[in-house]
Amino acid sequence: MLIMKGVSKIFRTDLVETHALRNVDLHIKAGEFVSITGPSGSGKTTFLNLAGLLESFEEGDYFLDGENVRGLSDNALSDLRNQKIGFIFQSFNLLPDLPLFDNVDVPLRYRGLSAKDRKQRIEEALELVGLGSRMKHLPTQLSGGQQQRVAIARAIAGKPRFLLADEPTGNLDSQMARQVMELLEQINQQGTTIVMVTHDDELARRAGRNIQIFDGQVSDVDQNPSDALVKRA
Amino acid sequence: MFAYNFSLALRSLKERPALTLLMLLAMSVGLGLFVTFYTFAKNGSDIPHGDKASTLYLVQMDNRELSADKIDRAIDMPDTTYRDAVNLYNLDMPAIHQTYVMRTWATLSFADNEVRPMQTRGAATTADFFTMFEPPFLYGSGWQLAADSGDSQVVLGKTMNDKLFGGINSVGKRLLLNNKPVTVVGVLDTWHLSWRLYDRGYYQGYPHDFFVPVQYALNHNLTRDTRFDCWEADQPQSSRFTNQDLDILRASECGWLAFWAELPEADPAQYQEKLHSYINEQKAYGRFPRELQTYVLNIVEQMDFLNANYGEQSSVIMALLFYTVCLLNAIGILLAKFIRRSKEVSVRRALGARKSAIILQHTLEVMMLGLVSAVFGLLIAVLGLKAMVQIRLWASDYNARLEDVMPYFQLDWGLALQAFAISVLCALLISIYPIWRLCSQPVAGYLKSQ
Repeated sequence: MLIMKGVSKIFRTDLVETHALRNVDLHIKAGEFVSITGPSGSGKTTFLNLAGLLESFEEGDYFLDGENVRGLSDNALSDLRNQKIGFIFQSFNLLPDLPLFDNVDVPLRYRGLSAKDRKQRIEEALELVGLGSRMKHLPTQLSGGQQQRVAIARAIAGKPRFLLADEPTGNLDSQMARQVMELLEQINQQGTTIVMVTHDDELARRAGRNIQIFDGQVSDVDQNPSDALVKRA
Repeated sequence: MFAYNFSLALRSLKERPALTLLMLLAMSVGLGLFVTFYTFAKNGSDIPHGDKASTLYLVQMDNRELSADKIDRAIDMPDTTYRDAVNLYNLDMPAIHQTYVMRTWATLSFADNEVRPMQTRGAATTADFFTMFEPPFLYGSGWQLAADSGDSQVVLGKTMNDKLFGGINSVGKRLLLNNKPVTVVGVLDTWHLSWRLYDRGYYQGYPHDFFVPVQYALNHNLTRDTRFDCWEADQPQSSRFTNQDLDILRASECGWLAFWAELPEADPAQYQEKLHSYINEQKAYGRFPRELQTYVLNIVEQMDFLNANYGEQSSVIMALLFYTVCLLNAIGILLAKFIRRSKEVSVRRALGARKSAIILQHTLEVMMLGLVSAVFGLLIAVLGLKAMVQIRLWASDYNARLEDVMPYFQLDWGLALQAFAISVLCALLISIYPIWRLCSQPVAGYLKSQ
């Protein structure tokens, strides 16, 4: 589970102080599919970066799977990201000169898994996203939708507890977006907690729970996670 | 993990080959020039005569007239006069051995003219020279003490023995020296001296091809190829002393011989004391009019002075500065290369790479760069040294011989290994800032960019 208590994030420059997140209290249960919506600049990505341990925060406590991450060392945060979190980015963030196999391999390498174990996980993940036959292709040889599926494969290959997706369909046409969304739902049904930032209201409605962020403040539109659980059932 | 980071580093080297090549070029050229000049400077600054360098002392005394300028450095002191050389040699001085040396030229040939006559450089000295300076002998030895009276004996250098006798053991064979028969008593092996000090020639790369007893050289009026440090009154006729007026030269106050003493301990005080008494005695004959000034310096002390004043340090410093400029350029290129990789690093960090993994990957990359630039740098150094050999030969009007010049420009394995170490170390140093920049960027910094 993911619990934030009074978390605040402030960006400071010499002249300006920007409160990107203010006193966020949030509880996301294991297995939930949560969408985060809000206008541009409201703090959605900042929230996701904090949740994904990509950025630090000034105030509050954040418990990831029961562990308070506040004050953890950079190495400990890296290990937590590697073991418990999968990321899906709007711009895919695949490494362009690596074949799909090696792209999916990246987080597994840093976990120190054996070659056999890695190969098995990579093949399973790529099969799941329907790209099992294209492991040796480069990302540039794929369509946008396919690239995002590779990014999903990379995110799930390590079997993370949490999947954080930042506008995963933002760069895709509606058909591709629907396919990616179906894939995420499928992954969620297998037990992975998903937190997805989106601008798309339709996609947001498909999540079991929608959280809105406005001017750095979080409000739960639908606090009943039972929808997600119903969907899983 | 090491193998993975190694493969990533290798891949990184291959990406943006133009930048990699530019960086290699900067680092290799800088290193190549540095190694070239450092090699030359190092080889030229070796102390000659090995273990004996601290016991072989050049004896110098200021016998000039009162009006002569004051001298502050041993190198500016006049050579020893014939009178003083003979007197000191025959005096009971506190030295193990003493000798004196003059430079000469002569033509070596055979009676049957089978080999083209060769005019070449040589030295005239005494038998003790070989005991003191220990030149390496291929065949035979130096002449006996008795031959110092002027026997027709010669010791040949290796190159001359190769030319005259095809390299065979020529001891006992005869040849003509200025058309006068002499007998070979010894043949030297290659004798490389970083500086030729024994005749005060201060030459690099011009070994003597033959040695004859000094009395023989005087008896047969061999060319006295030396500088004559004469009193002002004797100056006008000093140009004739090269091959005329030997008796006048012998009796004059002109210095033209290098006088050496081998002292048992590296402490010349006792010898100097005796030298001062000798000079004071000579003052009674109207000689040594100036204040007492003598130098008794061993080869180590002379080399310290030569290396400090006439060495190649300035060239090495220039080359080092150039290398530094090249490295500074390389830092810029490396920074550009690494900064372009910011997004990839952000992605890797987001996916769980620790900072140490990023550092390891990039450190391996620059280490490989350092190794490759060391290889290219050494190639450039080898070519540079070859070019310098040719320049040295050209500068000597091709009087210097390749085999004599080569040792100054030879890259040894130790130096090559040092170059590898320097190259890798410099690569690591220049990578500190770019790697630090790369690792200190926020993890989320580039994940949103397209």
